Amino acid sequence: MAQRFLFRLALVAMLLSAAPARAQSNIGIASGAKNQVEGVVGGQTQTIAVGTNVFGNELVRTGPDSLAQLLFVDQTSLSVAPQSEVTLDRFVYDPSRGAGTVALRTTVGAFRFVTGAQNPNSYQIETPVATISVRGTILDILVYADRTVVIVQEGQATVTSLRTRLSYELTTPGTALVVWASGRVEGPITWDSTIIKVNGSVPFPLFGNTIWPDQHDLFPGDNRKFLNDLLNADRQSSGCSPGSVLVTFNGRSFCSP
Amino acid sequence: MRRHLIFSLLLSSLLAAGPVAVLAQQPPVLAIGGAEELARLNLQILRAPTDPALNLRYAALAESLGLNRLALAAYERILMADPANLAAQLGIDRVRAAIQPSTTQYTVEGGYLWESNPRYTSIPSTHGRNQFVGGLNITDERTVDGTRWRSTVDGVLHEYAGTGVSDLDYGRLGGVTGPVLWVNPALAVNPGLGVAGAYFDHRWFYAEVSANATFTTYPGGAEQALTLRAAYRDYNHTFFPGTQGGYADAIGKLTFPDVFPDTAIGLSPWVRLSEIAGGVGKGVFLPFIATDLQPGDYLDLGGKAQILHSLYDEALVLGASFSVGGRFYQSVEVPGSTERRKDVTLSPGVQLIFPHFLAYQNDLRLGYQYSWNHSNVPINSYRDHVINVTVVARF
Repeated sequence: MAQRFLFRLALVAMLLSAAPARAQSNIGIASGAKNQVEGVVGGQTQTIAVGTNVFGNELVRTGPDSLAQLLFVDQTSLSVAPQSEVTLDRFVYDPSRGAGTVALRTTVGAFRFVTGAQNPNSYQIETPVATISVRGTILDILVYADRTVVIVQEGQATVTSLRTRLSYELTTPGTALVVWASGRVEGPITWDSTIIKVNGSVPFPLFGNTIWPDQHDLFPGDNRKFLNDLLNADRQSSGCSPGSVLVTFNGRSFCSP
Repeated sequence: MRRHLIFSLLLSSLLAAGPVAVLAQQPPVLAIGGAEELARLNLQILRAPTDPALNLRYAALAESLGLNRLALAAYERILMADPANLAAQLGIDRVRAAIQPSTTQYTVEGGYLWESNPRYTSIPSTHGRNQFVGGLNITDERTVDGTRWRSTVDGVLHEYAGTGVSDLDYGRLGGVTGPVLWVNPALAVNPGLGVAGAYFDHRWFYAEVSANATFTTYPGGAEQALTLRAAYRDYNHTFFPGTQGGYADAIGKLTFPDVFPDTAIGLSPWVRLSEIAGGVGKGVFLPFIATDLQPGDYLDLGGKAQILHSLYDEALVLGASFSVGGRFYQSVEVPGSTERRKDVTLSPGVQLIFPHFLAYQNDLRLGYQYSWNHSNVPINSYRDHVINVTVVARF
């Protein structure tokens, strides 16, 4: 009963919010938009602001220092980092069965994909070098021309190289899989805490603490000025022969044998 | 006075390790609705995405249903429109803490280093020295009984090739462990207790215990941190100065991402007060020594600035750094005067990093660094050139 009610509610909401000028189906909205966010649909470019409808087959892109979050009727959300592009290929959702299909195509940038209420096997994301079948629930995806990095923060994913058609499972949160255009696949590896993009309080990936690893000195050793000073003092003070050192015992110092 | 300062720092670090005023880690109490209510709220949000009250209701319900991922998206949504929203800040920290995976990160570094003046003498030898360097870092983070716990192990090894300066061979291994506590929505503190040991000059060098507290905040998403440390060392008694000593330091880590496109700037200011007072006073035991030798009794102030610029989709990173430091010795005198020794060191450097060299998260690093040290004890002024080639692997 409740499901039927929800289905009708979803249907009504979609119909009500659809822009009359658009032939394409409205599948969600821009629930967040900061600075330069654009949508291209049917050859027309529009500025995307908070609350703007997004449509099937729409290309959404962000400029430098920009950020967007797209929210869909099934509660799926996609956070889009600065200088990123994604096309909303296909969105089908039947709330009465909690099933459907969500297909996105990313070409460049960084994204955070949070699955909604659909069956976990309903989500598929395509990148220039790989296809990602999301099996819930939070994925960070970094898309470059020559590689795709998939980091699973919660849940699991299956990543397939477009070149080799081989599939790889990513099942441990905090690990990443790297798929290269050549077909080479690395991982799963523990993500090294590098933050690739940051805007406001939204980092990509979700967890990390350095812009580049080891940006600051990695090793906490003693400063060598101190070591040299110490050694010079040791040698200078002892006046001992080579191989012998100054020994302090009970407050008195002498050269070791 | 300085000893008092060290102990004050030690005390504050230990206090930070105790039960600090952690804000409530529970989501707001809310009547449990269920998945249907969540879907209904989502439809309302689709019509009014910037309504913070609506989004907070949605997020709280999602949290209460254990759907932290949906709450995360909602809090991000609120903060995108209103970065100062306190409830959303609290909420996002809470769900991030709940979601954050347990990980163990290994970082291993190894390479070769040529140095023109390893002894830092005013008249360097005519040829430089080679050394092999190695380093290890293991950082483990996991949630234990609802508390995030961070443990790190650090090691470093400098091994000079051949003879001549092999007494500078040095190694250190240490570890710190402690909880990560959020003291307010924007600030985390990681108090920890540490132990370390080192060898130097082919001898056991010291054992050390330390109290640490790292304060971390993420304004704008990039980590900004301040680490306070107070440590106490027991030196090998065959070593000069064979005694105990303590030091306290504060090290900042400020990161400014995307200052320019694909460019980040890092700043690391530091201050260290070292009271390793062991030494031999002039005229006490060795009258031929002109100065009071207490090389570990000093105040050190300085900072390092680093700029990194990524090229070709992170295929190459160019880096430049500049550090400046002043060391003010408390006991070491300038010969023939009562003035204390003072050193100022300037050190510019450049770096060439090839990220993902041979494998992902492996870097090839080439670097050059020049150090110029001016001391009011002329024999301690020096210049040094360092060229290094290292490979860093993170896995």
